[in-house]
Amino acid sequence: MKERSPPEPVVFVIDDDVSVRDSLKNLLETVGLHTELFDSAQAFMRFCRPEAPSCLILDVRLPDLSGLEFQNELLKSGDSLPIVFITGHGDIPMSVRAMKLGAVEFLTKPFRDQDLLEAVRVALNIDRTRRRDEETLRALRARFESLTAREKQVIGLVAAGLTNKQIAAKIGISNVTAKVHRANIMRKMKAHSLVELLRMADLLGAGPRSIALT
Amino acid sequence: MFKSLRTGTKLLLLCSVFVGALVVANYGLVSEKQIAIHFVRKELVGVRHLELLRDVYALIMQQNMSAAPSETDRNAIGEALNSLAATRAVDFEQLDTAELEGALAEAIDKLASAKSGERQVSFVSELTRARDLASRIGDDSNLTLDPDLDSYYVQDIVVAKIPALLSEIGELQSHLDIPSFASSAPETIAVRALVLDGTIRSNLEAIERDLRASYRGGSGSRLRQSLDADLAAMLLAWSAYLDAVKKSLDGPREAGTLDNRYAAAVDSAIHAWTESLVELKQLLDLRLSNLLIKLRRSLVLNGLLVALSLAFAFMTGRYIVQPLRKLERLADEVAQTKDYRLRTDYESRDEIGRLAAAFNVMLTELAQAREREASDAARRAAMQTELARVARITTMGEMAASIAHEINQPLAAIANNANASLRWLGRNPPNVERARSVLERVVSDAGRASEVIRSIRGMLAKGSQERTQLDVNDVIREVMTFIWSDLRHHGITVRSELADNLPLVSAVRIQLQQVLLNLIANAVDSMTSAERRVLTIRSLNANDSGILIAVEDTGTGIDQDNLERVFGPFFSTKPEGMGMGLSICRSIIEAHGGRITASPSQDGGSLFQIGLPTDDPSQFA
Repeated sequence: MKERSPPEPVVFVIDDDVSVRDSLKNLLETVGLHTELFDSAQAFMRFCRPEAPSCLILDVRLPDLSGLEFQNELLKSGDSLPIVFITGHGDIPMSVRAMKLGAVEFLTKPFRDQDLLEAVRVALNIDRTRRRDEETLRALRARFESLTAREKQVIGLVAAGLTNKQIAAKIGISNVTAKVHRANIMRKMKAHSLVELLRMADLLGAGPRSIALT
Repeated sequence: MFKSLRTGTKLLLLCSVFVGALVVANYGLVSEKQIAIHFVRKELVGVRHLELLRDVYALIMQQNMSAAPSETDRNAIGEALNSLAATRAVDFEQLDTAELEGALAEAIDKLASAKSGERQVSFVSELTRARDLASRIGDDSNLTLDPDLDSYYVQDIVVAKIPALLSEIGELQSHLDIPSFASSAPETIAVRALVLDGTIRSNLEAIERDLRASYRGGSGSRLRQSLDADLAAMLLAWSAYLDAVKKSLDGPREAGTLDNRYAAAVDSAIHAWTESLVELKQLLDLRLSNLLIKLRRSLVLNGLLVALSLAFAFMTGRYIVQPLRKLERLADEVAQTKDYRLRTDYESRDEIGRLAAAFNVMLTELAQAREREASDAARRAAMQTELARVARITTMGEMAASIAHEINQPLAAIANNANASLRWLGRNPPNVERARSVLERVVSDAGRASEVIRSIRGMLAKGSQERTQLDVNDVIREVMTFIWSDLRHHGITVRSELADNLPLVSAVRIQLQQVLLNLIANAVDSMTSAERRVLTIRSLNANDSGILIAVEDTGTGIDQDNLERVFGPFFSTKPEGMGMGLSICRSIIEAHGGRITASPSQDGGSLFQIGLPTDDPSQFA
């Protein structure tokens, strides 16, 4: 896996003005950030994004689809790429709308370099965190999938706070078998304590309710 | 024709027609009265004749059958007859009695010369003549035609009955007087006396009837008072005489008694006659004076009416024409001075007064309307100024936004690049190579910014309100530089088809730019939701028609109905549009002697065409 050598972060820039686009690339390169430049939202959508922490610097005024509309599109498709807006003449309602929909920052051209770089840093951190959380969840899911059906049943009852005895009585197995299942679950989920297992179950959403339903 | 006459003339006409009608009616009345007066006067003449004839009668009746009339008697009769003739002459021969008078005089002469045997016959014929004369007087003087009840019956007594009585009594007495000379037998005389007696009695009864009838007339009881006694005395005397006659026929003659009674009867008859004549004369005089009074009164009344009508006409004229003239003068004054505060002071409750009041009200209304008009005009002017200002501000605002954007882009790039190069230089060790390459970008971006500034300055500096000779292609290019990023931003493809070697036009640069900018901005707006977005700008030399600039788009187009209206003020299809853009465009183009038209484009969009006259002198040849 690539976990030990995290991929280089990428900053995407969508602006229809080539000078602005290029100047952003120049500025971001001074802090060693890799950039990908696009003149329109369509061009960006056609691009195959790498699996790396990334963020989007988006001009509000774009041909065809405006920046704000594009933000909506991304959210609708479940893409939570952090966005830093830049605009030639932004107004307050526009920025409020963008921030409400989760924009990281709303900058008016010309902006101070620190402001942009800080916004990009924050955005990349958000994306990093998100990616890490997603990675963790993905790993937990993989571990959960490795459980047998009976073990999945038992983990739900454990998460609901039942003792081994109660579990055995509930699903009609012996106390010893229940204990064995529990030990297997702890091992497979790589949980070092009951508390850790419960937190994992919580993250997975495999709480007592879902168990009870099965 | 009557309508166009002046009111005074109309009134005069009305008045004269009225006076004319009055005169005609009056003439009828007066002439009727005149006839009646003439009638009465003639009757009075008759009465005068009868008075004279009565004297004649009185003399005749005194004659004695036993002897021939004495000289003095005859002279007296002659005198009486002469005065009768004289009266007739004085009265202008109104009565045709001369012949009968002559016959009477002849009969009197005959009686005087008659033998005693013929005397009785002559006397009777003399009486008959006198009686004829009396009835002729009555006929000729209209007395027998008298229209009034009282005077008619009195005149009957006077004209017919009393003369008849006198003739009959005379004849009767003559028979009694001289029986010895009578040729006929005493029986004959007795029969004759009986007949006469009957006639006299019936005559007396007739007189009584006449009296009763005349009392029923309009003279009141005065007539009865003056006549009753006399006539009653006469009737009494006559019946006494008739009794005596009867006695003398039956028995021995009492000559003295009979003669006395005869004389009394004759006297009473003459007296009654006199009184009746006096009364008749009085009645006629009364009627005459009444008629004259009525005539005078009606004449005076009519004169008053005429005067009154004239006065009314004059007053009407004065109170209609004068105030009307005053109103007319006031209206003229208002028309000339335009002073709507003027008022008429005429006050009255009649139509003219109401007209004057209405006139004042109208003037007030007019004054108010004028004020309203003035304030409306001022408000409209203010509104137009305000609109023009808003339009200018809007255009300026749009231009400013556009300029800001065009400058901001390179400025943002410059800022970013400058920061980047600072960062490269700030490293340890500084990356001079990277800094230089980034600074080169700064220079090129700065160049781009100054290009934008230059084109704006070109637009503003060159675009004073002065007309200059310019190539429309230059103007189009400038505008396109200015709006380029906007077009690209909207994803619009621009196609320019600019003809070479166009003749120059004389125009205000900034105004032409404004028109083109406006047309292009409209085209851009109309294409925001179109699939295909192509803006075509053409320029070509249409020779005689000058230079043609066409702006064509593939947008929503214009409805056929609106093609003409789009250039009107306040016409807009955009929700926030003020509708001044194309209106201003048209004013500008028309101020340049050109024209601007809108038509549907072949692609379903719209096509705006501007025709501008060139300065080619051959055009004006």
